[in-house]
Amino acid sequence: MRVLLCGLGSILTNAMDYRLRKHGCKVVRVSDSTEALSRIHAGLADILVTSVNLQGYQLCTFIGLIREDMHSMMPIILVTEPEGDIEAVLEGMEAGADDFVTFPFKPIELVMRIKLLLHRYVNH
Amino acid sequence: MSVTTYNYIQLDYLETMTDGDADMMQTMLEMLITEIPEEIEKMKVCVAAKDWQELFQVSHKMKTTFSFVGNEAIINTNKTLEHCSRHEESLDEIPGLVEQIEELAIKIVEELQQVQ
Repeated sequence: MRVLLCGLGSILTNAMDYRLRKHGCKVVRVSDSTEALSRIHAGLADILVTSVNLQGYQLCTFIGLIREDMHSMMPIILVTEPEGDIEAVLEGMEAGADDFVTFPFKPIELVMRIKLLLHRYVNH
Repeated sequence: MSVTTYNYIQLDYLETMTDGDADMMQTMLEMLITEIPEEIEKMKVCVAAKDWQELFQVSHKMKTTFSFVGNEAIINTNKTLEHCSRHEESLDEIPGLVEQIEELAIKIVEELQQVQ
């Protein structure tokens, strides 16, 4: 499993990188959506975990480019904060994101969501 | 056995994320000790330049970082700062909020250095 972590900040990215590697995932880390698109385009990721607050392309444009321009059905999980921008989450889900988690989350929660979505994706 | 108590940090979430791994904990502590002062400096630059949207971006990014150190006062002050900068409201309060965050951050970093 190759997990692309986008825009989560260095501290959370480092922590999730560590936990995901312990669960057998390979992690690709990018700080903005433009860089994420180039990694997806190069086929370097199986699933995207992204902040809803992005540098580069904004969330809906970003997801739209993945779904419509790249014709990719890659699973997408959004990361938001409590009292975060729920409208951004809803717009992201409408644009094609599959799931979301609210920070601070338990690492195993994100790992299980990733595994579940990838299982569904592979068996679709 | 002596137990060190801290007044400004609460590292339960960091311990959860690092799964009790001492090396990973050390790496994360070093990242926090480096990143927090750097980001506070960015906040001060944004205030001087009255660049409220960039300040919002820095403040938003720090929400996650402050959650890792578990200090409710800095989390809440930063939340107010994020709201004010994002919506460009109560702009006269923003320098004071950044000052409060800096004062707390200094104490947080001092305690993080004691954990190392």
